[in-house]
Amino acid sequence: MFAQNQKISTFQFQILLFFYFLNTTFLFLPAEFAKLGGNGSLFFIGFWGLITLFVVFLLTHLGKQIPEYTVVEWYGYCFGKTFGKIFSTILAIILLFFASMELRIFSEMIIGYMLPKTPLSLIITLFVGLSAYGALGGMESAGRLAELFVCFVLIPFLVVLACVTLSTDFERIIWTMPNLENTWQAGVSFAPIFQGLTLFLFVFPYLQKDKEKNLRIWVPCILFLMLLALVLSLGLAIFGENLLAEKLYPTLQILERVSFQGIFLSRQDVFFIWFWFASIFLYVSGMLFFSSTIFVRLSSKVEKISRKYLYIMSIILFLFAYLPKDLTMIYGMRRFYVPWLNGIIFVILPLLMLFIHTIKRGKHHE
Amino acid sequence: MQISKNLEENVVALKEMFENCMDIVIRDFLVSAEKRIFLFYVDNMIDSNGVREFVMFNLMSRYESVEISLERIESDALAVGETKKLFEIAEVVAAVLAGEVVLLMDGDSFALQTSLKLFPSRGVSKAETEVVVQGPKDAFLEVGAMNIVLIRRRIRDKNLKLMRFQVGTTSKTDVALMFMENLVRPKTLKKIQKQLEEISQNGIFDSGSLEQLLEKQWISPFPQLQLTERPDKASASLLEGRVVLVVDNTPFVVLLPATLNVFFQASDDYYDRFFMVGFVRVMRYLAAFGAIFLPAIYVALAAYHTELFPTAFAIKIAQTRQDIPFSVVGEVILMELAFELLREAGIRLPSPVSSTIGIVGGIIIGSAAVEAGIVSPFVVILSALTGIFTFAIPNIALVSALRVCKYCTLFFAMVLGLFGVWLSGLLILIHLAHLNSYGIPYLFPFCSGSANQGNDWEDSIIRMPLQLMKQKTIFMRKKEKGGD
Repeated sequence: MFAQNQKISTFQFQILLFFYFLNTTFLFLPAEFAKLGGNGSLFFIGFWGLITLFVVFLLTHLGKQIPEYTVVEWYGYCFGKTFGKIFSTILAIILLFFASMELRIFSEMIIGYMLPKTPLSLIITLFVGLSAYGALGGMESAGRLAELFVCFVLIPFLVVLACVTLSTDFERIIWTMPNLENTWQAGVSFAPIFQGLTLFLFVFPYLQKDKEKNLRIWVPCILFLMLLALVLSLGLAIFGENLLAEKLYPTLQILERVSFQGIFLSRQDVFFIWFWFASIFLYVSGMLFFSSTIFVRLSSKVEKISRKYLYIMSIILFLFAYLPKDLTMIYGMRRFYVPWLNGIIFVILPLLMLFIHTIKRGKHHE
Repeated sequence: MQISKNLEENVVALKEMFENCMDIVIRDFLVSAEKRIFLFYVDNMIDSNGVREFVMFNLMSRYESVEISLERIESDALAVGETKKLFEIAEVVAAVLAGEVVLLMDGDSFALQTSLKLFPSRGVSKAETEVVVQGPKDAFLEVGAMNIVLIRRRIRDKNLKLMRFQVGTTSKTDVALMFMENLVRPKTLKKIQKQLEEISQNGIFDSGSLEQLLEKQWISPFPQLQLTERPDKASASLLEGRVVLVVDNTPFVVLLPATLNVFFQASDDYYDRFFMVGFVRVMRYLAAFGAIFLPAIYVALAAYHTELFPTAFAIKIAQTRQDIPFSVVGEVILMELAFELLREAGIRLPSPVSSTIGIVGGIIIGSAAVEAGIVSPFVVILSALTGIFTFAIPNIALVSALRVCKYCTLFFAMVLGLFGVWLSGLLILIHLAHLNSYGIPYLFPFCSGSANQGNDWEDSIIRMPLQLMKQKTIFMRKKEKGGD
C-alpha cells in the first residue's frame, strides 16, 4: 500500500524544498543585504539565486544518474568504501551542525519573543524531541506534513505578504547597483539558505517511481527567490535602506504591517513566528532523519529509520545546539564555517562525483 | 471425537459435555416403531413453534414402518430451509451453542443441523448516536443476522459478498465480513481476514473490542476504524469499496479502512443540498479545531501573553477575574473537568433525567459559580463553547480523541504559553501524519491526495453536487478507478 512505501510525491518534494529554504536566515537576510548593498541589494539575490539554481540543477542531474543512491552510496561508489564511510560520517555531523544552528537561533528567538523566563535547555529539548518524533515517520511523514503546511503556513504567509505588498509604496525605492566588492560577503550571508539543498543528497530513492524524471524543481526555487526579493523590496520600501539594515528580524517586522487590531489581537508578530516554527521543525526533523539514515545505510541496506541512531543523533543535536555560549558565537560559526562547508558538500563533491561517474560509465561502455 | 452409529454412545458423550447446562434441551422421541431421534438445542434460542411444527410433527406423523435414516429425513421430512451434516461431537456442541437444532439418530454416523434460530431481539429502532434530520431512521440491532438483512435490503447486487468468522476463543462471536467483490481492494480484504483469524481474545462482546484489536496503532487516541449504527452508512461504505464487519450481539458495525475525513461525514450530508452540506462540513472542521485549541489558546493568551489582547479586551478580562481565587489555568481546568463530569453523568442517567442534568449543570451551576466568584463568565462561555464544538462532530470516537488532544494542548499551554500550543498542535499533526489505516494515510485526501488523482476531495471539507461526484474513492480497487 502506498501509505507505507516510504515514497513522496513530486508535490511533496517541492514543498519540502521550499520549507527547507525558508529557514531562520530568511528572517534577517534583508537587513544583512541592506547593510551590504543598500537599494541595490536585489542584485545579490539575483546573483546568488542564479548560483543556487545552478547548484540545484547540478544536484538534480547527479541524482538522476542513479536514482536509487543517496549521497552515502554515491560516496562509496566514487571514493571507495573506506573514504565513503568517512565522508558520510562527517556529513552526518555537518548536517547536525547545520540543524543545531537553526535550532539555537530559533530557540533564542522564542525566548526573546515569547518565553523570557523559560530555560533554553527546555525549549531545545522539546524541539529536538518533537523533531525526532517527526523523523520517526521517515520521508513519507515529512512529505505529508509539508503538504499540510501549505494550508497552515504557506497560504497564510502569502496572504499576509500580499496584504503588505498591496499597502506598500514601492516608489520610495531608488534602484541602484550595489558595491560589487560586497558580493562575496552577501554570499556568506546567503550561504545558510543553501543548507536546504541537503534534500537533494538523499531524496532520490524516496521519490515515487518515474517521478524523478519530471521534478519541476525550478518551481519552489523560483518561488522562494521571488519571495526573498519581494521581502527585501518591501523592507527597502517600508523602512528605507538605512533603517532596514538596523532591524533584527526585518521579515517579521515587515509582516507586522498588516494588523487586525480592531478585530481581536493587538500583536500579530508572535503569531507570524509560527511560519518559521513549522519550517524549522521540518528542517531539523529532516536533518535528524538524514543523519540517522546515513548510519543506517552504512550499517545495512535497511530502508527504515533506526530508533537507536535517531536517539543518538538527537542527543548530539541537543549538545550542538545547547553548548555554544551565545548567539554571537553561533552567528560567528555560521559566517565562518557554513559557506565553506556548503561549497564542499553541494558544489565541489557533487562535481567530483559527476566527473568520476562519467569516467566510470565511459569505461563500462568501452 | 467422531459421531458413531451407536446413538447411545453419542448421547452419553453429549450429555457429559452439557452437564450442568440446564438451558440445553435434549428431547428424544420415536419416529417409527424402532427408530429413536434425539434433538439438542438451547432453550429460547430457537423457534420452538418451528421445532414442533416443522421437525417433530413431520417426523412423528410421517414414518411408521418404513426403513428411515437422517439422509431421508433431510430430503423429505424436514421443512426447514438450511440443513448441514455434522460428523464430529465438537461440531454438534458448537452448533447447539450457536442456536441451531441438532438431530441425532440411531444407525447414522452423522448429525443433522437444522437452522431454526430465533434470538431474543428488540426489533429495529431509531438510531441514537447518529441522529439525522433527513434520511432513514432505522438502526442496527443486536442480532447480526438482522443487521445483514438491513444491508442486503439496500444493496441488491450479486457482488455483495459475505464471509463468516467466529471470533473469540470462548465466546465464539459470529462476525460477518461484508464487501463488494468488484470494489474492495484484495490486499485489504486479505489482511482483514488474516487479522480476524488471528484474534486470540477470550471473548468479543462488542464491535468496539474488535475495533481495538484490529487497529494497527492501538496506542493512538484517534480511531482508525469506524463504527456505525446506521445501515445506510454501512451500505454507502460498501459502495465506496470499504469492508463492513457485522458483529453479533452489538448494534454497531465496523467500517474499514477509515481516514480522518470519514469521521466528519454524516449520513444526511448526502440527503441534503450541497451548499448547506459544504457549509456544515467547514463548520465541523472549525469545531474540531476549536474543541482542541480554544481552552489552550485562552490559557496561553491570558496567562502568558496578555499583551496580545487589545487593551479594552484585556481590561474586560481582568475585571471579570478580579475576585476569582484561582489562576486562569486552575479556572479552566476546573470548568473543563466539571463539564466532563456532567457529560459522564448525562450518559449514565436515563434520558429524561440526563437532559435535566445538562440544563441544571450548564445553566444553573454555571451561573451560580460565576455569581459565587469561583469562575469568571469568560471561562464558563469558553467551556460551554468547547462542549458545543464537540457536539458538532458526527462521530463519538473522534470526539473522544479530540477531548484527549484538548487536555494535551491545555497542558502544553499551561507550561509554555503560545509556544506550547504550537508544539502540541504540531505534535498532533505529526501523530496524524504517522497514522494509516490498512495502508491508506489517515490524513488522506488532505495529504497524498494525488494518489487517487484528487478524486477524494469531492467528499472532504466540502461535498460536491451529487451529479459531479465521480465516486472513485481511495478505498476502491484500482480497476474500478479507470485503470489507474
